[in-house]
Order: sequence, then structure tokens, then C-alpha cells
Amino acid sequence: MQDEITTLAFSGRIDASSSTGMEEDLVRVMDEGHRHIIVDLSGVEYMSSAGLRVLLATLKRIKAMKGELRLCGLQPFVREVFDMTGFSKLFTITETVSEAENSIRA
Amino acid sequence: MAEDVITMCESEVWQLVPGTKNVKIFPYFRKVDILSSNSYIISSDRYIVLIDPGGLKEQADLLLREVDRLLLENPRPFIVCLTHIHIDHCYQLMHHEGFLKKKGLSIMVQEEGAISLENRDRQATIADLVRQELGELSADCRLLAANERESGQEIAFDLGGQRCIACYEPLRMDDGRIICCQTIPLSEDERMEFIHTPGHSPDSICIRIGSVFITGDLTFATAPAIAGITGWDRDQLLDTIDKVLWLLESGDITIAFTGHGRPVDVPVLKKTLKYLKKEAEGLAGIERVNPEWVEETAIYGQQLLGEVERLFTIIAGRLVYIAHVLDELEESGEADRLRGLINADMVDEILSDFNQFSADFHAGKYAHLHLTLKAGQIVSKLDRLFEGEVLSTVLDLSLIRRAGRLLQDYSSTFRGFKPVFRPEPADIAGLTGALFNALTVPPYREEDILDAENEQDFMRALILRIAYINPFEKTSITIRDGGPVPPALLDRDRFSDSILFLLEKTAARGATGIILSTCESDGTAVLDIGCSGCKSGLDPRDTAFAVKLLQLSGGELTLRKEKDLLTARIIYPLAQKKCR
Repeated sequence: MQDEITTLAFSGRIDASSSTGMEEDLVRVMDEGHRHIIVDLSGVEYMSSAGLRVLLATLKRIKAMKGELRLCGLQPFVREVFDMTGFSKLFTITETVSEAENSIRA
Repeated sequence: MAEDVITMCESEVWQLVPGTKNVKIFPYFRKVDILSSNSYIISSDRYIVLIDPGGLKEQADLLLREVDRLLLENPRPFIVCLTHIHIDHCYQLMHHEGFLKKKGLSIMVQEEGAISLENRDRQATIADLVRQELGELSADCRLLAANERESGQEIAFDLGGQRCIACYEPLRMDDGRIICCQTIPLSEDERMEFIHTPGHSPDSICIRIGSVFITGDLTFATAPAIAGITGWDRDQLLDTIDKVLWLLESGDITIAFTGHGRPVDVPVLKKTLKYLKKEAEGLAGIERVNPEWVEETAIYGQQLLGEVERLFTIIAGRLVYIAHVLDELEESGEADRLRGLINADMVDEILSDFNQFSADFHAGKYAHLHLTLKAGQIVSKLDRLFEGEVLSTVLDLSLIRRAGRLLQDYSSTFRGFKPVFRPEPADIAGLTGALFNALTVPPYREEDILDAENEQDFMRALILRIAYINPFEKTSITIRDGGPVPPALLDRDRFSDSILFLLEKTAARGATGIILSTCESDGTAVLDIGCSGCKSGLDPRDTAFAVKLLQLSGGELTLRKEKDLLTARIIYPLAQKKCR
């Protein structure tokens, strides 16, 4: 199971109120032992710093599990936030889920 | 003592009116909003008086139940009196069956308000601003009539078949100014006094019973989006404030029941009025608050908060990023300090709240005025959290400056003024060159870290380096000289902010190359921005906001998108027109 790839897709606004849901989903998957995770953000129109913090905490945990985390499908606003905050440097970001899968398997 | 009086004032509980022997009051206090006012039922031997029935049905239901109970116990004339005719004070009086069918009900309104009600004046009642329907309403008793109020004569009112003598008792202030008052008896020993207090509206009155002073909306008369409404008069308001302050000096008043919110004691009321006066003095020339202004301001607030949200997310996110890198470098103490520079959770909550409100507005739950007020409340909360000076020690100054300016712009607009615009002759090519340098040259020197002489300097240099994020890393930016351009008339800071906004937006859409060129064309100074490789154009919200930003800098923006090429042409008037 450890080497299976798990894809989680989120949508809408990821902000103060909704980031908790995203965090719970990601923590649950990691608690189950999954260490290769793709986060599909193609349905996310906005992400606040609360969302960024959740993704950063996930990245740290995945690294500790010696796994891989990929983000994909960033919409213009989310892409902009990642580029403007420096988060693009921390994460491996792909356009699509299949590119993300290939990148983990490579 | 005054505090005791206020503590005693419980909402929806009958209590003796301070300063009277046998008059009782049933206050209905609400939180401050524009949906409905507070209401007060007064019960005396002779009359039941309901002051301001308010705007909500459940409120009117409760008030009418109390009135019916009193009438059953002791039938008396029932009077509804309005402190003014704004619809949040009288909507239910116009629409609630209980009032419409009530027999023997007499309505008392100041004369100008009475005329406006009869004319179903949507402006005077602010029904046009809150988009509510007016019902038919006519006043039985016109209080403080213009041709009578300074005379001192007696007028007879018919209150539910009973004759009531209302006396004019003008008061002369030390400086000779007259305060217009009219009184009716509530019992053998007690009376109710109506005082004309125009300013918030021409028909505004305050009411005194015993040592209670009911102020209507006087204390809200300078609030943004209220100051400037139809009928609002700054000079009258200043005069009214002086008069009320003079009345308060008499010492007969111990407590003030306001049109919205909790009661206040006299020292607080005096302090509020003095502050109000200072504020009103600064409100000369404010814009008229009409439906057009409200709509425009609501749309602007929404656009502006969209950009505020982006900038605050970037600011908070960048701090998270820097703190993370510092953590990795085992500099957790410094990382924690940076995390504490802004309360990101609170910012998130505030913006999330506005976003929800905005969605409800689009679903038709709120009018433009509500959105305008909500945006004002959000901006004020963010402003309190935003410590630009502290943040600028760590982050890109332009980000901080832009966020601060946006908050200031909405505050000015909301207050009824135009955002600050400082046009001056400027070399557009030079400004574009400076912007180009700012975008392409890092704000630190490579050797700063090596040259650091102590731990503090080292940390500062390190943070500056980590904090430098170049959003144009994957974009080549070039500048082209299109020949000499005479000085243009523009606001320099706003120019830089607007162009940065445009460039960031195009970079986020995947622009691989940006060319900036300036020239003179048709007697204007022109900046052309060509962005290649754009996967999409600007969305309508960003386009509208860019147009507004450029307008505020003194320019005019035209955007075009052809295949993957996005072009923006910005023109500014020349500082001096050329002689032909």
C-alpha cells in the first residue's frame, strides 16, 4: 500500500473554514500509511494562507515518510499565490494528474 | 450612579422611567445594524406611546403583544411616535397588519417627515438605498411645525378621540440660539418633550421623558454611508450637537436611549457628541450618498477586497514560506517571530466572512448598501491587523504599500471622499525603467551575508535573501525605447502599483515574454505592454480592477487579447499641452 499513489481532489475555496476539511482528508490518508500523494487542485479557485500551511505540513510529513507529494492543476489564482509566495519552490507542481503520476513513478 | 441606571436598563423588561414617579418604559434594544432600530414603549396613566416600531416583523409582533396587553388592562389612546422617518424605524408601521388594523392609533411625526411620508418619498425614507417598499402612512399629529415651533403657542391634537394640548416651549441658549421644543402631558405630573434635532435628517427629533433622553439616530449621523444621505445636513447637525450638549449641561438628563444599540450615560453621550462634532467638521464636501453612489461603492469594495485578499494571502503565505526555510535552517526562534508578524488566521477569517457575505449578496439576500457597509467593516478590521511598518522590515515594500493603499482607498471612498490622487509631471519612460529595475534586480547584495558583522545583521541579510521572490523568474522582461516622451500627468505611486498588478496578472497566466515600451502619441504619453505566451486573458474582475487602478493613477487602460498575446495600452495626458 505504501507505494500506491493516492489522489485527492479538492474544490472551491480553501480558506479559514474549509482548510480544516482538506487537512483532515490529508491526515487520514497519511495515517493509513499512504506516502505517495497527488493533490489535485484543478477545482480550487482560491487558496488562503491557511490552505498553504496545510499543504506545507503535509509536505513535511510526507518527506519524513520518505514519500512523494505532487500538486497538480493549479488554477491562475492559486498558481499566482504559489509563485508570489515562494511555495512553487517547495513543491513539485504538474499540469495534470497523469503527469503527476508519471513524475512519482519516474 | 449613571452606571447603575444603565445596568438597570434591561431589554424587553418593564421598568420605571428614571426621573418619573409613574411612567414605565419597555425598551427593545437591538445590535447596531440597518435592518431595524431599537424601539421603546412608554406607558403612562393617559397614553401608551411606542417610539420607533422598527423594521422587523418579529420585533413588531412582540411590541404589539405588549401594547395589546396594556390596552386590555387599561384602555388608553395609543400613539406611535417616530424619531425620524428612515425606514429602519418605521417599516413595520407601514406594513404590519397589527398596526394597519389598530383602531384609534395616532401617529406623531415631525412636520417635514410627515410630508415626506404622505408623498411616499423614497429618498427621505432611504427606502431607495435599502431597496424596500414603502407603504401608505399619514401622520395624525405633525410635531414641531415650521410656522409654529418658535412661537410658544398651544396646539390641540386629537389622540384616539381625546383632546391633547401640545405646548411649544422654545428654549433660548446663552448665545441666543433657540432650541425648538414641544411637550405633551403623559400624566398629571409627567410630560414628554420633543426637541427638533435636524442634521441626520430634517425631521429628526430627540425625546425627553423624566431624565431619559431618546436620541434617535443623532449619534450615528456621521457614520460612513449615512453622512451624505438625502436630507443629511452638516451645518444643521453641527447646530444640533451644540444644542444637545447645552441641554445635557442642565443635569436633568441621566441616560440616553439611542436609536440603535445599548443605552449610554451622559458622560459617554457628551464624549460621543464632541467626537461627532469634530468628525462633522471634517465632512465638508462629502459625496452625496444616493443609490448610484451606493452601487458604485459596493462594486468597488468587492473588487478592491478581491485584490486585498490576494495581497494579504501573498503576504501571509510569504511569511509562512520564509519561516519554513528558517525552520529548515534550524532558526526556529526567528521563524516563530516572523509567523507572529501578522495574525494570518484572523485575516483568513475576516476575508472568508466577506466572501460568504458577498456570495449571499449575489444570491439576492442583501442590497448594495449592505455590501458597502460590510466592506467598510471588513476594511476597518483588516486595517487594525495590518502593521505595514513591521511587515516592511521583512517583505517586499511594494506589496505592503499596495495593501495599505487599498485599505486607505476604500476607507476614503466609504467615508464619502475620493481616494487620494497626487498628479504631478512625470517622465513615463523613466518610471517604467525604474519599475523594470525593481523587477529584475534583487533588493539585496550577494556580499551582505558575508559582510555581516554580527548575528543580527546576518539574520537580517539572510531573511532578505529568502524573502526575495521573483514572480517573473520564468518571464523575460525587456524594455524598448520608443523615443522621447514629454512629461505626463500622473500619480507616480499609483502608476507603479497599477503596472505591477497588470504584470503579476499576466505572469500568472503563463506570460513568457513581456515587452514594455513608451512613446508619445496624439498628444498623450503612452505605455504599451505586450505579453506573449499567455494561456488566458485577464478575467472580467481583474480587468475591471485594472481599469479602476489605472484610472486612479490618472491614466486610461485598453486591453486586447489575440491568441497568446495580451497587450495593454495605457495613456496619460501630457503635463503641458503642446502649442500647435
